[in-house]
Amino acid sequence: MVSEADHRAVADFLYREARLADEARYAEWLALWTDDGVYWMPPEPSYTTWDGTPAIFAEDKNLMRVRMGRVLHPDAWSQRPLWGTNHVVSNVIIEKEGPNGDVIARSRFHMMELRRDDVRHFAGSYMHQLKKTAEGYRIKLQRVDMTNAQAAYDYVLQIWV
Amino acid sequence: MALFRTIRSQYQRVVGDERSIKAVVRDWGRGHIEIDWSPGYEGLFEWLGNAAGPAVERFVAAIERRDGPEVAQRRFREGPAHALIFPNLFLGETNIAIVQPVSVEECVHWHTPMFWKGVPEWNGRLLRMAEAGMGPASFLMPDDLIVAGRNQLGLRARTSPWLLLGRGLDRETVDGDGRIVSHVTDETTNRGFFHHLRAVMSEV
Repeated sequence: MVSEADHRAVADFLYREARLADEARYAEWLALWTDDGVYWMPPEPSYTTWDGTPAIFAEDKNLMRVRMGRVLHPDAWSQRPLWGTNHVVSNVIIEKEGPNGDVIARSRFHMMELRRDDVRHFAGSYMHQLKKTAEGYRIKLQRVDMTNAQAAYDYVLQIWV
Repeated sequence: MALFRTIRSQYQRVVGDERSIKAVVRDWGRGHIEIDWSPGYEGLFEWLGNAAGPAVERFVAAIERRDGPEVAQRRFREGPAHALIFPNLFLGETNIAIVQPVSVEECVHWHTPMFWKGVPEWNGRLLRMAEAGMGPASFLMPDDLIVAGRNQLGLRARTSPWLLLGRGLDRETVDGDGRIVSHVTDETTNRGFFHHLRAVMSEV
């Protein structure tokens, strides 16, 4: 049985992650990952691994740093003005909690993205594998199943969903 | 060139003062054109994200055995082509793309990572490189798409009837194989492609 306090702590962690992303505090956002952490968005829900299969994102920390460096670089003129995002995260459930405090959490999200005058909406589910550390939870894996992942878009995704 | 300064990749080598950029373009004739980044490469496998050690061990041994150390070293440094085979096959280093015209101002760009026969240990890396370059959340495509979009808008401009592709005309050379060679930022490749397109698409 998951305690109310643990549930609260996991939900707060997910809200904080979303807030850091929406405030473009990407370096702090990146610090939420373990050193071997992976951010993964499969093309559709039947995928069970990123290894050897196509993905929309499948980034280790190094690639996440590259993406952050590019998006924030003053010469990345295709990325100006910087994207605005707004995440609403909800329906947080702890699916599994280990004796060491590591958890698997599931939640739903809705992200509004603004680029110049264009607004796009992405929605779907998150699965977080969280490691409990002395500094709080750290993300070992964030899987994002986007309900509209297969839709056609005029422009590629540049910011993590 | 902003993209080149903003992601870490082999393209980093072409950033900076124009005179320090060693990459070249080549017009092979009949519409076939090439960008050769390799003169700017300093190390081996820069085209493979600077892969080294166990990731390339087996490949290096096999190619050295097959081609001899000298040719092998050249292959490891130069990497695969960055070239357009007229009219619509693009060999994009570790990707292969096909441009399929649909109608005026509309085409489909198909692409796939290139996997080496007998080197399955590269597949994961090549897949991730293809996604970062050309995928639905890629780093390379956003700038290319914006440049292409602006070019398309520019073509609609009515203030001048001319579309000048003149950059580098004054410094092109012809190499021993009859190919026109120039600085990587020159429009030698645009001229090569459109000259041939005009020749095959018009009756004159």
